[in-house]
Amino acid sequence: MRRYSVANVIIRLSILLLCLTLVAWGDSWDQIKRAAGDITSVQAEFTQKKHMEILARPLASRGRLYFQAPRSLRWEYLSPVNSVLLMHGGTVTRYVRKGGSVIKDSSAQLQSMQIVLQEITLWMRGNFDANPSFTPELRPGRIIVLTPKEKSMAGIIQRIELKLSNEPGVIRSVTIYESRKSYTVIDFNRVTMNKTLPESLFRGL
Amino acid sequence: MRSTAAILLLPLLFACAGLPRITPAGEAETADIVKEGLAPFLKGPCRLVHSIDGTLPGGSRATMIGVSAAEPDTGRIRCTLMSIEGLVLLDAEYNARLVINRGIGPLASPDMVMGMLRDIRLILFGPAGSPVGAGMLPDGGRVCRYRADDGMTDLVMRQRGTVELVLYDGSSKVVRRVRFSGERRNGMPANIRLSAPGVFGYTLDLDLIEAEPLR
Repeated sequence: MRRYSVANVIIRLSILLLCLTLVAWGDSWDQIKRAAGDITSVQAEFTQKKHMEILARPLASRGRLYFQAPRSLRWEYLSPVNSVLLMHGGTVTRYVRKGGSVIKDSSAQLQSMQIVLQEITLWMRGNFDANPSFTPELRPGRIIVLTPKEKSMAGIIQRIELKLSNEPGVIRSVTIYESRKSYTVIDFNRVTMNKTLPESLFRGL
Repeated sequence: MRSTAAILLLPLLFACAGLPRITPAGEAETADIVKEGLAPFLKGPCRLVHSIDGTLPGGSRATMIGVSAAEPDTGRIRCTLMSIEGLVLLDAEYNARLVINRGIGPLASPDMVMGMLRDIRLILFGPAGSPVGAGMLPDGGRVCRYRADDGMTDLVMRQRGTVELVLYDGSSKVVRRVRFSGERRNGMPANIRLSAPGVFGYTLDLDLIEAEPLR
């Protein structure tokens, strides 16, 4: 049975969500795949709410993301922890801003992330079935449900649900279910597609 | 009578041989020092959310979010550790015994989780044992010393309301240092730094995101 490290799971999910943000639209896989080919860049803001039994109310985070085809990405949390994940030119870097200083994340997850980068190009073409970790299902109402293929992954993530916007190319929300009482909802807004983004966004802070 | 008391106090003196010497304070000042030293710790049930920046053995660094719900009266703790992206890596509770509701990777190990919980207890509940002395350290810091079965703890008052906890093991070796600083929110300090010395030492920097009393 395939085993997943914590870092690997986080990376896979992060990239999967980001790529889904870029390609999720339409009512059929063919439609999704066709539309995916037209995207050159995406920028959006997001709010993330973590629901857990231990919390009386969800823990809210907010941030923004930038994507430039074929494989440059900036996934940035503005609060409560200010962090930036950068993927550019085949390298992955993560920074956390704290007070006046910047901490470079040197955990193992960044190495794993480079491996997963290969999958991005597949997802960018809407090839969800090419992802070895999840089985995709397109449900009525523009909802994509991703279910883990392997038991070891299912013990970490029960399923992921994506709700697509009426606007082509725009995803409304992503919900990640870890258990019945623990799940994360990410809502996207202010989405802008195919606008030229400066390369400096992906090179550093 | 006096000689009997001296003999009874001898073990305490030897146990404290490696610890900084304390110049005893007067009775009135002692009460103030004890109270001030306990200021950073929970006074009642509370839920806390922290960002946690860990510097691990070898120098690698990782940032996570921790949520704790703790009851100082009962010693009950529930803690959750998650990535910034929200993936829960650990959900554990301790109420006379450890229960790991969810543990991923190394955090599935009860030994490791118990070690974490000991650190959390130290940060939230303060020193075990009873006060055995209060006064002034050679460096000028006011201090209250606690004695427990497995060691001693000093709570040292520093400048600007900062309190430093120093935990010694039975051989008077420092095993943890915790520094509480910053503005208080719902009684809890904004910044906490826990350091574990040694070859496998680590440092945790906790910044308070939320503190909410539990009813």
